[in-house]
Amino acid sequence: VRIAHADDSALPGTFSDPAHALELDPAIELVPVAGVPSAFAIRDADPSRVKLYFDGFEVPALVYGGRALWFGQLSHVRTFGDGMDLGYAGTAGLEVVTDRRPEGFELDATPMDSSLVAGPYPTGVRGAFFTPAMQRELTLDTSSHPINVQERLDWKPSAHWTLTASALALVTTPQDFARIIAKAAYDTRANNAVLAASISDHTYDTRAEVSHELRDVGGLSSLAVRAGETTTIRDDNTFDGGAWAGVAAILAKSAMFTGGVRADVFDRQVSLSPRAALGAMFGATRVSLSAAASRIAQVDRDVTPERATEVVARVTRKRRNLYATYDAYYIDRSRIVVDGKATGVGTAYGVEARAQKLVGPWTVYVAGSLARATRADRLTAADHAADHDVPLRVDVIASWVSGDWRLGARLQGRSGLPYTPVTGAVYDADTDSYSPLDGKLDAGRAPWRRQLDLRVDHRWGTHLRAYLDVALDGGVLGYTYSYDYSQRLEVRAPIVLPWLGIVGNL
Amino acid sequence: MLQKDGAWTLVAPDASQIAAMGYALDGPVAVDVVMTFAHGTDRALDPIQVKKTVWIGEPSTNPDLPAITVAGAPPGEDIAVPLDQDVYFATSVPDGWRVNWLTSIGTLYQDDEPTSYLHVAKKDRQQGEVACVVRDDQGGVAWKVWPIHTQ
Repeated sequence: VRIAHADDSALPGTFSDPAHALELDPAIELVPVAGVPSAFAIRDADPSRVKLYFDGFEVPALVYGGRALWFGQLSHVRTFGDGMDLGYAGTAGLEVVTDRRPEGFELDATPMDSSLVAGPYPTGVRGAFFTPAMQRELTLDTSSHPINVQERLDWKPSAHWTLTASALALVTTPQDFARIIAKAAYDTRANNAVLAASISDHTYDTRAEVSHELRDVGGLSSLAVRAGETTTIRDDNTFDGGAWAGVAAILAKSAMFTGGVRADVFDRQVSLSPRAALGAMFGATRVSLSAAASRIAQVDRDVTPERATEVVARVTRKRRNLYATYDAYYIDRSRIVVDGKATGVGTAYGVEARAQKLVGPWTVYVAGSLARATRADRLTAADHAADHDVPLRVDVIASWVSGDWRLGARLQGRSGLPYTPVTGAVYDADTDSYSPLDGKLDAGRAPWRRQLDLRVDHRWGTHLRAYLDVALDGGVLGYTYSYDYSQRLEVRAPIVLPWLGIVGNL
Repeated sequence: MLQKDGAWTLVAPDASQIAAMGYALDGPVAVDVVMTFAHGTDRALDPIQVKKTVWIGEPSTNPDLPAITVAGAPPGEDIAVPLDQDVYFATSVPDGWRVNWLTSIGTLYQDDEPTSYLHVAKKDRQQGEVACVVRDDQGGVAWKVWPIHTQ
């Protein structure tokens, strides 16, 4: 399910950043680390369970200093359906980075960030002169200069073959990362094949996929059969392997079934991840219904694989100038690691709605979610809120275009995240140091967050544009404590945070 | 734990009791003595617990308090300091030892260094106590509390 589009990052409150644009989906939360957004949480899942892929191969979380470290568009794939082919699945869903060709020369500069994408060769370099860092208040860190380099070359030696070489490199503190990918794709109407190999930090990966489509067979309009594999070999001689197979059958003109199973092998563990989805469209009403179920095993090197079983029902409504989706989901989680043992369990359920309507020069987007997510250390233990439980989210955007001007406003509201309150302190008389006395796990909740974003864009011809995106917030992000834990101090977002961007495209 | 004459005494279990608790007797046994204070004097978060690790089977003595100087001279039993002036408190300890100065009047600067200084302003309390705590690198501790006032 694709939710992010190139134009989304031009909406208020996104600061022209694709990572922030992802938060338009009420299922996705940019999780702050030390006050700065640094990772994704999807529904209630921990960010460590969210996998990010670049051209089909896993890469680290590409968010640094609250900004995305990638070029191109980013898609969101749920834990059912299309996720089978993408290596070791996270139990939360997958983020897929799709590379793109930079078009000419582009410079994007804001008070917080700057980037440079150079062409016409398909190579991009993005660097930040300074990055935001949250202490008790927002400051600009001028000592850190993360750099991201992406490259992509496509060559079509014949009508059916495409050869691709792509690379992604990150130079950040404290971690550098690089991935190089070579891919060959064969594509006819009925047959498709992909063979790809990649080298990364001390790992060597391969990915292969074949598919064949039959038409008018066995009473079906179409039957597509797919199968593939993934392997990872590391310098320390450890090996992970996975194989998958699935079918996509169009039962009638307006009904489709997809299903399959993926098997992952890690050391002596074998995890099976089955999934199935059934969808139907009612042509006259332009309403489609789909239901999907999946069971995903999170492969982890050190512990028993965490499991997530998810059931999702979706209603999609498409009309002229209107696109809306309504989801209801239930997720059961088990084998969650607690104190080094895979005894934890959890559940999450909720409803989500997203609707976009175009009326003349107006674009209106409304999204919201009601959700509840809990965890327990073991089956017989008491439930507590999950770390990323957000019971209520509301997002309303209105944008108006006239000529070269675009004005927009966005109102966001969301429940605060749970936290474990500190109830006291232990003073160590030998070391003259204090450590916190933690209260009940995730028993506290940060206050309700609300944010108003105002944005204006102006374009001069096709080569130059500028935007001002102002966030009005000032809310409590979390808490910190004095050195002896005698005082609890609020960490607040800036009351006014302006982002001024100038984008040149030659 | 026994309290007598204003001091606390930890009575160690004998060898058979330690063995019954499942500890091996091939080395010192660490016992964390934790005291809980339900209401701090000026703390927003309560309680505060104070932990002291006692090693049973490894006898050791607390160090002697090293020589202290106040404004360059040894202090008497009652310390008098001038108003609105920096007054230096100093001692000397071996590497790895820690020094903490505490006061209930004025403001102490560099209070976790061997040499600290105190400044008492007119708006501050004019009478109280000052203390020096010295910790060696073996878990030993020595301290002394002096009455202090301005003149």
